[in-house]
Amino acid sequence: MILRVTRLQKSYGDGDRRVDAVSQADLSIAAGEFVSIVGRSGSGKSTLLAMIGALTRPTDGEIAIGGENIWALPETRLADVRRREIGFIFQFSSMLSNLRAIDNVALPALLGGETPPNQIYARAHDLLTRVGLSRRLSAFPGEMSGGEQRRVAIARALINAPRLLLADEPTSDLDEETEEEIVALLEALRGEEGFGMVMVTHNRDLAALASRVLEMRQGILTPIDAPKVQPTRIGARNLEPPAHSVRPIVLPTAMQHEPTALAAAEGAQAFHRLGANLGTAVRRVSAAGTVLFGVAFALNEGVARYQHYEIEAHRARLAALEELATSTLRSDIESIISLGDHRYEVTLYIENTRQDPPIYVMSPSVQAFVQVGTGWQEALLTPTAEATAAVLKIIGRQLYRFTLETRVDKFTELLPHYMHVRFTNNMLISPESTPKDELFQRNDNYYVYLKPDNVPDEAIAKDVHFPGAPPLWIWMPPH
Amino acid sequence: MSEDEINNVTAPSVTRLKKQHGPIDRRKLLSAATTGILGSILGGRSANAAGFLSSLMGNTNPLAPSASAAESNALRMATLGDYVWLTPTKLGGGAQVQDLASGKTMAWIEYWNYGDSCPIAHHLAAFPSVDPRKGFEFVNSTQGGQNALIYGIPTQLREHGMLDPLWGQGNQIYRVGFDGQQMNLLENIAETTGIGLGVHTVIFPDATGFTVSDGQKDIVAFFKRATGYDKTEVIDAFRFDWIGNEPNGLLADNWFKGGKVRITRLVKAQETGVYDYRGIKGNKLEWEMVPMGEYLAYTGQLPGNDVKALTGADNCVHHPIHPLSLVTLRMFAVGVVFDRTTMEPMAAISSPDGTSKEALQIKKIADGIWDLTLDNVVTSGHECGFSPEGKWFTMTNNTRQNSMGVFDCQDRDPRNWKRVTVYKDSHWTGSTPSPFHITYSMDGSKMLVSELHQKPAKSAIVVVDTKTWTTIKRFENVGVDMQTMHVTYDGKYVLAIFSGFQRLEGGTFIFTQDTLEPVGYIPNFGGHHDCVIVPRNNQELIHSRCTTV
Repeated sequence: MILRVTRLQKSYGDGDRRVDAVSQADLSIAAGEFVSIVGRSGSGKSTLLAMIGALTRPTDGEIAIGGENIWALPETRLADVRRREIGFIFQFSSMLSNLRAIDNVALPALLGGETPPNQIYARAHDLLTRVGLSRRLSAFPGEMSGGEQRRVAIARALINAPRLLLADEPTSDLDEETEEEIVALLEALRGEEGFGMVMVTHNRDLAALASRVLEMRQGILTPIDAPKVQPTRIGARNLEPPAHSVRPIVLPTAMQHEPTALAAAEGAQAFHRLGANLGTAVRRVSAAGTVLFGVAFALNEGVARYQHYEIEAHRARLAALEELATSTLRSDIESIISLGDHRYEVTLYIENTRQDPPIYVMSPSVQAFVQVGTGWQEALLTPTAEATAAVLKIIGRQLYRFTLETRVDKFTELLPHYMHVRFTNNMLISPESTPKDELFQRNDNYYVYLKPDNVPDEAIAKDVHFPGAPPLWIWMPPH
Repeated sequence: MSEDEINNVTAPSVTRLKKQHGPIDRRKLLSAATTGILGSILGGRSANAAGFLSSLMGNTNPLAPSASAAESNALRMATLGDYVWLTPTKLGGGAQVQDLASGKTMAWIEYWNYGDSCPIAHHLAAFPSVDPRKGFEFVNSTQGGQNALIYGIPTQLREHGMLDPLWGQGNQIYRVGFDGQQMNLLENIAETTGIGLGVHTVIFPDATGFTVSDGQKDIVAFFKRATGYDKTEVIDAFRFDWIGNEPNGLLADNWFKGGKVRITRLVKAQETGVYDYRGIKGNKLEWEMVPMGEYLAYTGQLPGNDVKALTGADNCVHHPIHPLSLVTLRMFAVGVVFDRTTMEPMAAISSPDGTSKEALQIKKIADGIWDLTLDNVVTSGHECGFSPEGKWFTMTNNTRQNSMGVFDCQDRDPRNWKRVTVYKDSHWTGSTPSPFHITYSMDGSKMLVSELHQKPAKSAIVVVDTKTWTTIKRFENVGVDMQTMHVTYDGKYVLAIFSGFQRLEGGTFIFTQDTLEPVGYIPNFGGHHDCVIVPRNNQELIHSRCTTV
């Protein structure tokens, strides 16, 4: 007896909420026997199969495979049982999409690590040939039809030569013709391999092909047919007529190999090399990685240094330009002379303190304002000829004259009687007469107190004390 | 263009020419773009790119959004140190204390809240505190109120009646306490004592008192320290008056043809029992002795009631070891040394090269009156300071000379101090740029000088080797209108504050004290004019600018 299930129970919840998915199920399968279980969706068929396959722990009862109570085994041993004793075919083929067909088949055996890869691939090759896929060994799942994928799944389930094959709706998503082919294939393989098989299906026609048929209804498993004599091959079976006629099952056509049959050997060799050359491979990858990292690091450093150089060079150019424009070049009010009638001659100096080479001032724009209230009212400031040039070439100290007219009625007197006057001087500065790079825009403000020409000194002296006569203008330091 | 437009015209400082082909062509642009892409991918660190390789190497951006506030605090703590940074807000009218470890402003005070209609928070100094985070006291002078009229601000202070002679003309001396949470005004020392001065406040190295000076009044006062809500007392106060040999000739000759400085001990008014120098009382000038104020004085552009008597006594620094204090007379670049044990002037030194005598005698005329005779005047001066070990004294010579006199000042008797050299950086030609404020490295091996450039140029920093008195490093284009510097007490960093001529850019530039490498900038909100790292003991106090201005 390959499988004996005794009073198997699977319940969920407690008390009034308790639901028995499987209730007191008993089942025995002899070696090589084919048993099918039918039932409606939700009747507990798949739960029963999951418990038999050591995937779901039962609430109660016992499952013995080869006489060993599997749920009494430790987890590591249970894994061995799953891998060695049981083959699974699920409702969907569940191929690993990035592996070839032969790799998918070989994988469960390779994971065990007990059998040499070449032997595993040989068996995989053999199995795929027997399921009619000798020409599709190297095909990837995405390149195969649903029927082909299901055949690969069957081959995969048999790779470890299990004693028990559990098939849960193995033809669920296949057309009628293909599902009959699959079942016929399973039957043929069962005959060859001698495994016992439990197939869960909702298709009673397919179920009728089994030697025994059981029905699961609301968790209770009951036999609906008497055991039959177990044939070894489908063609030799002596089946009683099923309730419904079944189309003749046709075995796969003659198996053909891939022309070179290299796929299996390549896979085996590759797997073998993977282990044998692992150290070498790691060293090579490390060496290559080091070289790549070194190159990237050097490139990174090179780029960083270049960027640094460029940024520093640009910064140095701007700093030199700023130094030239703000420190080397100086400018302020040189003198103011009264011309009478609210008119003044204002002299502005622009000085290149390093004398040579010259500094070029583009488009100097000088304006004058008188404080009125809290704002500045522009006063007429007329440049003389030398102050109107578009570009001034500054060598040494150069003077530029303007005529200022201050006809302002009510100016603000920060210093009694004096006007508060602001001159703005906006200059674009370059060391070159024809600038090729940045220009520095310098915006100067010069503030002075300016004595109106219609206020006598005596009047001022009454309110403001000076060591001498009230000056015409007072330069205000910036501090 | 409208008035508003004129007031708000701004432009980038660097302008690229339009339609200018120049050296930048498409090939270069493509090259630059390729470089940028490669750099971004590979993570060129100098461009701050965060490519995959840099990420693999752990070169992550510490300012990434995922960084927590605590992490950023830790970063700053690791870089600048665990210090409390005190700065006045100049025209903002107050002071604020910042935690250099966290970057937070811990507290601030604004003096106009207390009825001062034109406070210009000027110089300050902090007394030592074991734990500045839990509390400390400082003294902050406010500049003469009419100084708000000389910065080109279109103000209406006068029209609005805010220049009251007592409460709108500055010269208050505020003593403020930080209690760990907020700042509290403890005392207006000007109100308590009747002496109102608005410039340098410098604490004695033993922290028992302090001086406040003002070149606008030519008065220096020595105060005994009070704490909490106790009242400050005056130890002594002195006025300095110039009596020129030729007062009626050309105005400049009033100073440059020699004369004598009369030093007078001030007395309290009999009627009130306090001094009578509050507000504008005692002002010789309408404005503070700004940099170049000497020039304005001898060209007749500086209004005031007694300009010709001007000596420019606007700072007083203290020897770190000996009980000596030196008052700078800016009009002559001369220092008058007081003995704080007798509270009498002992001697004077002349800083500029070319003066007939470097050590000058003080002649006592009567009780509380002394004369200092100057045969000739070469140039004016400005700031000065002692090195922290008390070996060197230096003073800046400005306007006509642009150099620094260097004196050996180790002797207890200042009459024995000798000028050993005159230091001059190669950039100091003409009237500007000129040496400005001074400080020293912790070990005194380096003198750090801020170098004032004419607006709109940015100031520089000159580092001088005090063994050879030569320039060993210059930081150019640091910031507009740089003021004082301060070294962190662990000797790692130098913080240099610049105020932007009250309205331009401001900030604090940081560089390493030993390796003299630039570190970067931290913000300076409000145009600070001075700075102090609050000292934790008297040893740190010596490095807290009580020996330099």
